[in-house]
Amino acid sequence: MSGARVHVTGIGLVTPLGGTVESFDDALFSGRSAVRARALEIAGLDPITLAVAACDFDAAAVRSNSRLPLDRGTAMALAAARDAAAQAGLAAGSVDPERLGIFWGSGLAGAGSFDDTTRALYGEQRRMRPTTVLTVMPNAAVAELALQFGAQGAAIAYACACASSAVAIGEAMRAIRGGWIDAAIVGGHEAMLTPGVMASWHAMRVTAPPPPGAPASACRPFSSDRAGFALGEGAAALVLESEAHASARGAVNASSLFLAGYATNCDATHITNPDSAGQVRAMRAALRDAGIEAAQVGHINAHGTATTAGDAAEAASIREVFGRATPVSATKAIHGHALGGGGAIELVATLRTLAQGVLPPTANLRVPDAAFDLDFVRGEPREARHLRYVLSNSFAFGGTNAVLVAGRAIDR
Amino acid sequence: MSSSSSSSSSSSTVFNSIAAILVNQFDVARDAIAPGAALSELGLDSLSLMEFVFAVEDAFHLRLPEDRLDPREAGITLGHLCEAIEAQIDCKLDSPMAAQA
Repeated sequence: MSGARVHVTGIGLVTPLGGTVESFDDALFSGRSAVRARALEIAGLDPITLAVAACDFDAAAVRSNSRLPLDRGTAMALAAARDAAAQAGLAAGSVDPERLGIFWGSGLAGAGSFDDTTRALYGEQRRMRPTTVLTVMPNAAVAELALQFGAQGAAIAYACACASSAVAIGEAMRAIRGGWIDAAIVGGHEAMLTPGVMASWHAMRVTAPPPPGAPASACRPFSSDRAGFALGEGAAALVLESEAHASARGAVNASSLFLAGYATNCDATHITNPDSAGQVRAMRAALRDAGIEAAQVGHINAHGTATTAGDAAEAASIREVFGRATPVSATKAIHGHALGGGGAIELVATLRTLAQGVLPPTANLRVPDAAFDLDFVRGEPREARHLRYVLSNSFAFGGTNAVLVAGRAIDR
Repeated sequence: MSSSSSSSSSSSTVFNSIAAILVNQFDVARDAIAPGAALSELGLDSLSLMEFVFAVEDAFHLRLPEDRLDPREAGITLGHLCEAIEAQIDCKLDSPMAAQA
C-alpha cells in the first residue's frame, strides 16, 4: 500500500504559540519565540532558571465524558482533538465507530498528576485520591479521546520519548492504508513543566540557559553558539482519513493536505547519542514509502533540538540524503521541545508550511555552525509557492527515529 | 446521632456545601439535588461517587468510614450523608481531643 495518500481533514492545537491555526501561523512565519525564563526553587536544590515555552491554557476548564479529574496533558489532548474533529466535521454518525481509531503519543504522560501525587504523599502526608491511577496512567488521554469520540476501532498510546506522537501518527497512517480502519484521531501531548520533571531535565545538562534579558533566544538550532533546548508543552491533534472515506464525505478538495509517507526505525547504538546512519535509513525509508525522490521534497522541518550532538548528527544525515538543495528549518526555537507531543506540533508546522506555500524561518539562527553545509531558512520566511512535499524529522532518546512526509494535492 | 441534634442552619450549611461540590465538580444538575435523593441516583458511577465522598471529606476535614456510610449502597441519600457529616462535626466539637486531632 506504499504511496497511498492519507488525508488530513482537521487540525487542533494547544501550543505555546496559541490555540488557533491563525495564532500559530503568525508566530511560525514571523519566527516569534514563546520561550521565557522560569525560576525553579525546590528545597534542598540550588535555585535554577530554565528556558521554557508554556501554554496559556486553563486545564480546569476542560470537562471530560468520564468526569474524572484530568491531568493537564489529558485536558490539552481533549481540547486539541475536539477542535480537530470540529474542523473535520466529524460529527457522530459520520464515521463507523468500529472503523475509527485513536493513536496518541506522549513521552511522560501523566507527569503533572504524578508530581502532584508524590508531593501530596511525601511532602504533605496526604492520602491518594481514588482516581490517581486513572490520571497518571500513560493511556489516560487515549482513553478519554476514545470515550469522547466513541472510537471503537483502536485506542493505542505510544511512548517513545521525542518520537512518540510522530510514531502514533505514522502507525495510524499504516492502519488506514492497511484497511484496518477508515479514520483516526491522532497526535500527541506533553505537559511536563512540573518541578520534578524540570529539575530532571536540568540535571541532564541538555537544556539551554535563558540569556539574561533575552530568554526568547535561548534555543538556537544549528547555530554555532547553540546551547540546548527549551522545555515546551502542548498538544496537537489531526483527523486522518483514507482517500475513499474522506472523498465520500466530501472532505477532499483541490488543495487538500495529506500524509504521503512514514518510516520508523531505531539506531540501536546508544541510549542518547544519535546515529546519523540510523537517521539516514529512516529518511530514505520514508521517501520510499511516499514513492518520491529526495529532490521532490521542498522543505525539511528538522528535529533541531539545538543540542551539540543532536544537531551535528541531523545536519550530517540531511546532507547525506538531500545534499544541499533542500531548505531546512527548526521550529523548536519558538515553541520549545514538547517531547512526545513535538512530532505532532511540528507536523502541524509542516502542514501549515504546505498550506501557505511559505517556509518558516529558524528563529535565533544568526550564524550557522560552520560544519553544517545546509540551506537553513533564517531571518525572513521564504516564499515557496510550488511546494508539494515537506518532510518532518523526530529523533528520540532510546534511538527511535520517526520521519513523516506530508504533501499538498496540487500546485497553486 | 440524628440530624435533629444539629441546628437547622448548620444542616443547611452542610447540605449547601455538598450540593455545591456536586454541581461544581461533578456536573450534577442542581434540581436533581435534594435531601431525599439517593447517591446512587445522581448519575455518578462508583468511581465518581468515591471521588465525591473524597471531596466532601476534604471539604469538611473529616473521614467517613465506609462501614458506616458506603456511598454505593442503594438506600443512602444526601440526607444520610449530611447526618454522617454532622455527627462527625459534633463528635469533634464534643471531644476533648478535638484540638489535637
